[in-house]
Amino acid sequence: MPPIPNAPRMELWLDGIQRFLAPPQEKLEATGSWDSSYVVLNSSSTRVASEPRPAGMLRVRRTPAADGASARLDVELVARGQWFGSFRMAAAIECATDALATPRSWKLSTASLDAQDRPVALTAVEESGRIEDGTVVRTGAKERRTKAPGAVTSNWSLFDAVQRLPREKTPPLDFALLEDLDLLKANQRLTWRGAATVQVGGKPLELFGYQQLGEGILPHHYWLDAAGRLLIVYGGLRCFVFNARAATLPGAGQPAGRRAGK
Amino acid sequence: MSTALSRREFLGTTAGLLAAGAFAAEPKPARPNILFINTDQQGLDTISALGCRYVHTPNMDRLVRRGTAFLQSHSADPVCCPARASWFTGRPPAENGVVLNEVPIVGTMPDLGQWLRREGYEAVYAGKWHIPGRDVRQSFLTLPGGSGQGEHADAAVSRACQGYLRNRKGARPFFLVAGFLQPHDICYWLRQHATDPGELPYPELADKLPPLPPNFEFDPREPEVIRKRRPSAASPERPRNWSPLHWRYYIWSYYRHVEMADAEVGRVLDALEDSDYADNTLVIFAADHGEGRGRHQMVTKHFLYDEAVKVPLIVAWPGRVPEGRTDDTHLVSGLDFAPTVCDYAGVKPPPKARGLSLRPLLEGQKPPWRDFLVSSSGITGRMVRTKDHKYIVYKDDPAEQLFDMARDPWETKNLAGDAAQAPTLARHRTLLADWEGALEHAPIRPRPPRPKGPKGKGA
Repeated sequence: MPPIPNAPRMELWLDGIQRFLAPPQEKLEATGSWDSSYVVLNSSSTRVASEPRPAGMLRVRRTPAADGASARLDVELVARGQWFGSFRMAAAIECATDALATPRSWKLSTASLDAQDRPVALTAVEESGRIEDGTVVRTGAKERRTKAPGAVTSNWSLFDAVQRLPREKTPPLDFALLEDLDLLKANQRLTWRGAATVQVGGKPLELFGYQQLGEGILPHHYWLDAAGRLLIVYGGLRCFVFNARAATLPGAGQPAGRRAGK
Repeated sequence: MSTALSRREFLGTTAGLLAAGAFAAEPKPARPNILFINTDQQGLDTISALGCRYVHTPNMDRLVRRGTAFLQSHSADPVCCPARASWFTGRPPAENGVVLNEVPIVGTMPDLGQWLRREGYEAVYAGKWHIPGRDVRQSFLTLPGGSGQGEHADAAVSRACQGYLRNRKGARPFFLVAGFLQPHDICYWLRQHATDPGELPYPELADKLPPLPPNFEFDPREPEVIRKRRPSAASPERPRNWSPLHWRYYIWSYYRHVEMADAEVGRVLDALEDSDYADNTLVIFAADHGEGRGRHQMVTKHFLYDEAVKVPLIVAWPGRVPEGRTDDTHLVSGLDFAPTVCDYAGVKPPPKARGLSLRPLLEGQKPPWRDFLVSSSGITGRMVRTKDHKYIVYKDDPAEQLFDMARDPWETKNLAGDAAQAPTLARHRTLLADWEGALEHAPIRPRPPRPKGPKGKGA
């Protein structure tokens, strides 16, 4: 698979993108309410597979506050395992409407799932958190306070942020990443990457992207369509491809052995 | 000799262990919980608190500060399955049967999960196991979650451990294993970057890349097995036509994988510290094997240079294990894991375990200690490490290697052909022959056919 100019390693995901990319027809209101679902793909090879299969699902819903000063993100991630089951994370994050969609407070739950997607005993975790006066405060079994090294945002907040950034006018954004709302990874930088074109359904699809480099991550790419909708996110071995039906797809929102719901 | 236990031994160990839950002994008081955190494919010198300048590992650093780090720590066999089988049996691959990835363990040989369950421990496993021929559910209560890629699965592992530490009930001590896949994802990175690297995709990184290692150039008088693992071989995971810049980009990428592992380790350590078990839990951190990182122009593992065979080993227990200490003196092996765990648990090690308990060292005693250790590499490769030298040999290959590790720690000058070193060479040959002669070699069983599909294994 030949490289795609200006989109490092996107060719690895091209089969999966062509198979699963299915954005909705309606117009995106980036500062308003939206509901985005993604098929999660996994790669362990030089390409995903000739018939790539989902390895989970991500859903991010945005609801702006009435005063416009904040927004709520509801996030659900299902990661399908090959060994013993799956994993689900659900979070409700109150974010600022600033450039990084900085989290102000959140609630989070995680659990391992059995083959029928039922939570497994002993594995459930519930946490809450907030950022106040430059300190990340997390409350689980106990309260933990960590001084933030400057600006902070979460990986899920970035799904919101990049849809509101002014593209090529975006200055480099430096921050610490609060990955999954608890793992603090320093020295991150988000920058405008520019345009790239992929072939989807036999037609060229022009994308516009940002890249993220930093500690504790491999380079991440965020690709949006001309209307500003975030369609593709990848970094390392994981790729999120917009698919409005992801929740119903076997191996994505549904266990692999289950038929898709209507 | 055979490794298989007699019928009587078998009935006394494995068969009974399978029913361990039903027949578990009453807990003995004041036995510590044991948390074993392991990573996959992490070399010893990849931790910032141990001097690595190219990585940021605040959580592994936390363990270094709060425990004792062994700096002469060696994998029993630097590849996943053999190393892991050695951890959990205390027997070298030649005895436990797992001489290569996917070759099954001797079925009657007990593992630590079974062993400690019988002694009243709650043995719990999350994450990568990878001991072929032994379903981990035979030996441990398993916490679901996992796949072949750390980036996809490690969060599920650390979260499951977090949940377990928060939700468990009961007075029995636990033996909890958190098996992370990172930084093993570098294998997939290598496949994706092996050929035609083109331009550095992120020019802004150019001045941030680590330098080439001092032993990037190396003595080419090597056994054929090692030479075959170099770029000329037709393998998807070995680099071809890389410029020095791309070697450095690979090393930079590897350290990002280590940082991913570090973050997950931190989540488990936080969970332990926030639990009721923090003061009574022995934490052991280790990796199964290292990673080439361009040293000797090698990538991944399956060889016996230090970059592959030396691994982190840190032990921490507040008030019980010296804090902030490094031990650069004692030669330790992955074989020592099982005897150490059993010693702290107050039980005998599994039958015929070959390793030594580290507990006396950690308690400030001066026990008699080994003056050499042996690691293997597959069926034919062997390494003897003494205080000042390392000897490497592959069966039926005349190209032996001998390194003066005191003067040449980067293993750049092979002294095996140096007449002045003949006595040293002969001594190491004898040590190896004596060691091998004392082993109860398991029959070498064939590797089962690999399952079809893109993800047949998670090496």
